[in-house]
Amino acid sequence: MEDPHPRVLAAARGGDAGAFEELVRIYQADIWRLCFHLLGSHSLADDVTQDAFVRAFRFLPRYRGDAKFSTWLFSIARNCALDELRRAGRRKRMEGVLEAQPRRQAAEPTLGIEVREAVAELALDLREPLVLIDVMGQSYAEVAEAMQLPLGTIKSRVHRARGLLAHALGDHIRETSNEA
Amino acid sequence: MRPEIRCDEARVELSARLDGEVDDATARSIDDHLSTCAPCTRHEASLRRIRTALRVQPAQAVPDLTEPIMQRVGVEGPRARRRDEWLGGVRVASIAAAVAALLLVASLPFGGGPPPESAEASEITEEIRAAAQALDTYRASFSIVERGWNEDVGVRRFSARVWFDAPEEFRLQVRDLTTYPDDRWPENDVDLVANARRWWIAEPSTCPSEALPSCAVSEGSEERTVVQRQPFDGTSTLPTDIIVPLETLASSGDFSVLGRETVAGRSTIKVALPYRQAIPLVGALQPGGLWRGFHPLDRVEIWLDDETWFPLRYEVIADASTERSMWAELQGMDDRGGQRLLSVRATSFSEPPLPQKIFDAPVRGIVRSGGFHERPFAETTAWIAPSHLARLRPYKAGVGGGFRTLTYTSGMTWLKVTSSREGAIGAETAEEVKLGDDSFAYYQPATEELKRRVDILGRHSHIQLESNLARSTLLKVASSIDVPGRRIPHTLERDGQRTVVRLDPQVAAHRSAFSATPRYLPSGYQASAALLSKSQAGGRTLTIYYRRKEAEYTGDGIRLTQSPSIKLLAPSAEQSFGVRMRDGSKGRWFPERGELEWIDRGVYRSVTLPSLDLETAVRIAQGLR
Repeated sequence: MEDPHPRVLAAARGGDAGAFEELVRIYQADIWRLCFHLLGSHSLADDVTQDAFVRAFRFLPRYRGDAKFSTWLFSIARNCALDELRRAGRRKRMEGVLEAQPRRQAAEPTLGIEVREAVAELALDLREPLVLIDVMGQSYAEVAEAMQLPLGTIKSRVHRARGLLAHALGDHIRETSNEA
Repeated sequence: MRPEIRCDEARVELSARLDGEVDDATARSIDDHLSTCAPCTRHEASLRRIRTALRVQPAQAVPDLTEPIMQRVGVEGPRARRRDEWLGGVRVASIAAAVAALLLVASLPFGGGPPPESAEASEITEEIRAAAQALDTYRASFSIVERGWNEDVGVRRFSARVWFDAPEEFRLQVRDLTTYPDDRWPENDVDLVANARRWWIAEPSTCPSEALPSCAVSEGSEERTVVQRQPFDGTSTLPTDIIVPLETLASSGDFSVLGRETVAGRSTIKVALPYRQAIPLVGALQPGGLWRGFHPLDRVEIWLDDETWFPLRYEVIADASTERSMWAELQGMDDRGGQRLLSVRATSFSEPPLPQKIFDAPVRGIVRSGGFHERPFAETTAWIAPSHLARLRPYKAGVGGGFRTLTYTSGMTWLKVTSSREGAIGAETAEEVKLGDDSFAYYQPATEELKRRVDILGRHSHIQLESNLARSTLLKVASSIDVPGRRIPHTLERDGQRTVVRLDPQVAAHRSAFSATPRYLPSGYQASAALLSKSQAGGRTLTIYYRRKEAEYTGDGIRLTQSPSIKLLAPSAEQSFGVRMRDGSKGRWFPERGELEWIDRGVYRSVTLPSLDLETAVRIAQGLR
């Protein structure tokens, strides 16, 4: 993913709301998808995406440009999502967190829902690298850095996650895709 | 490199390879393992499907949270300034208030910019590359509806059939089903047959559509044949993008994923991109005959089968901009913005064994020889053979036309390596790439006729690689050829009048006091070459070429020309439109060749972009610093 224009970034760091809004427009879809796949819920993803940007705005003056901006922003969003999961775990409200009905009016593909449900079933240590790599398109090195794990561990976790998904979805993936 | 790996190791690496995260040695040991292990091959397919399902999701399912976020950030007051304000410091409209064609610039939708390449798009790209490598045979039929070809014939209908046997047996048959006003109109039947040695096309022999029906119709069809065809010869082309749109989608990577839809009971992924990037697909069923033209900005929507990656349907839709309607007027066309100009639907497809006689090409009409003589692989110039073959297998070798040729294929994917004593054509403006510590090569993206090329200038001969592999793969293959490449001399041309030198494109614009650097370029473009021409009288002209990495179908990408020696815009008889530039001076836009020129504080500048539009030219001009 490309980083924003340096002047947009500089203006946003200087507190320019217009520039920051530009950053929101560029990244919100990716941040929302990351949150959605980590949290498995539309409404939680909406909330946590907002939290992440608010936090990013606050910490932006401290962004030094030593990492890619997108990596920096994803790590904030990831931390917000993990905070939410921890809170949710304490409140025991993770059960049935996956909403029964998607509320977007755009026709969501059946296949998409099946896959998302299966992803939500994965343990967090497998789900997280899988989402960062397959949904967010990050590199193994970026994920290893963000999760503070060796690259080989990321590699084998992604493989395990994909294997479990393939098993869970099985031939289902072909059947559903034909009626989507 | 390890000689053998176990299944469990191979599977982890297979998964990582889908993400481009393994080195060449590991990739080779995986390939070795897969060649003998069916369960792991199935496992790879299953991992690939899962990965696609995760990555390819419709973009519109994401909510717009800008408003609540900005409210929570707590900044009230006027809404955001738009991006162009801090990009350029000045609003675009103020520099580009049109003079002769006021509405032309006033209607431009500024702001935004193209979306960055998405994970979905790159996923589809990889799937298409994999499908193209795996394809053996193919048979399909299509129905075609075309609108606006001629004002007296509103709609034309065709059926088309396509047969393919990898890597280069191809047959296309187009039959015109239109009911014309009278029999002076020619039927637009087109036939093309190609096999490993020969290529033949038959198309109606008639005058251009603007002159119909009054101009005399000559009888029957015009035929052309190529015998002793060079393998994968771009001038006798195989329009294989109709089978799997390898060039159109895998090369551009710059399309948007609209979502999933069912077409003829099959699950498809719908994507959209501008016509200028979809030329190999849209042109595939139209390799000859009379067809209507499209504008680079027209929108092409493609429905891709998500299992085979065959395009099951595609449409070309007229762009609604003012610039587009002016173009239509110049062409004598009566298109409305949003109108569906071309609709193509697959009516059947399969991958059956095909009898060879389908690909028997006759020798008729104008016959030309490609001069190719096949020779055993081992006899032909083994020293130019690459050691890294990117999963392709040797196909055919030979000599002819001053070349020695080796070819490699897998499915629709191919690589051609030629050596000759002649120099490299076009390499002066190609991008210099480093192949090794002391070895250089010159890279050019695909055009309509030629695929991606790498020229290596050896000590005694010139080696060219041409391929429909991706740029990065092709460069890897090129660097595995054991011939060090020379650099093109710094001075390309020197005579009494003029000296032309090649400059490093990354720094060229900073080196001259008169030249400016663009802050804005459309997504994917980067500086690939720069030439400085100096005349005896002291005149200087700097030309910088910006190109996309994989393909530039129409024209040369973007060319920026700057010269302090030109003080006035020369009179021109060509159709142009006045554009008022930032400092109030007058610029000119030539729609036919896609060129904007102006004098900026005593320096002549022009932006030439035949496959883009005035909006983009103005944005580039505005961003020059």
